[in-house]
Amino acid sequence: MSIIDLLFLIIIFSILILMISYSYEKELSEKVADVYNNNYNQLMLISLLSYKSKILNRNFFELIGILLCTNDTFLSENLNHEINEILMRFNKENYNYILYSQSKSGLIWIYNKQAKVCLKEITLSSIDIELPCSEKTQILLGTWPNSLNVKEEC
Amino acid sequence: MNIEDLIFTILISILVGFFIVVLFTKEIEFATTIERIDSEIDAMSFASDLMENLSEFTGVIKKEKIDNLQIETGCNGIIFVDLERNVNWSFGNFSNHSFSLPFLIEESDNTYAAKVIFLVK
Repeated sequence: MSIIDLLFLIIIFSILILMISYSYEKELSEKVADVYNNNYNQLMLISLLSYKSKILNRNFFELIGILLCTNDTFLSENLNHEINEILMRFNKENYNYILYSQSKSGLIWIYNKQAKVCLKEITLSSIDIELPCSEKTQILLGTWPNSLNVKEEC
Repeated sequence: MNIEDLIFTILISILVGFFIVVLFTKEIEFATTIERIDSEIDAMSFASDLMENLSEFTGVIKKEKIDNLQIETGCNGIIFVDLERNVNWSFGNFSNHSFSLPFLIEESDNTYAAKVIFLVK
């Protein structure tokens, strides 16, 4: 093996090590970011539902239950406005959010950018709830960074 | 070895030297990133435990608990920020690198949207 061959080998080896390090670092950073985003989302949903509203002096969890059972227009307008305000405060900078829950008679659907998103592409948290009208449903909260172009349908 | 071979060998040696310098620099950067990620994981685990202890899985922390908080380890510093009343409570030292978590402050039967910022070592 000539000296030139050896030098070429060193170059190729260096490039390989750089590529492996870079991909490992990227993968690790993404995993940590995923754990953090999931944790943040879950806490955001739990805290939001515990928030004591000015409406009827009840928390959002109870009010969403009432809304999904009664479909009261006045309650819907006020609750949507209040929940949106708290979501804006909790929301991470440069992130979008969508909150959704539906029952046979009512719907709550709050978002800051996109009304429809492919849920597989965003960070999603959900809580199963039993409504005062004995129906069961889920409250979903999804968030995603502004930089991510999320499709409306999967 | 003729003069052309010599020049070629010198050029290749310079290229190899350049790659080795880049490799070392990148490896140092890589080690720093791994160290940062390690600190982040430690801090996140600490943050998660702290928030669970303070809020008992409800996302609501009583104001008195923040007033009486003693932070011993896990992060360089912690800031509880009341987003509605624009006040905050700081503990520990400060650094540039941070992450935050949402929660509610409960005081006098009211709740206030808040964030806790963890400053990573």
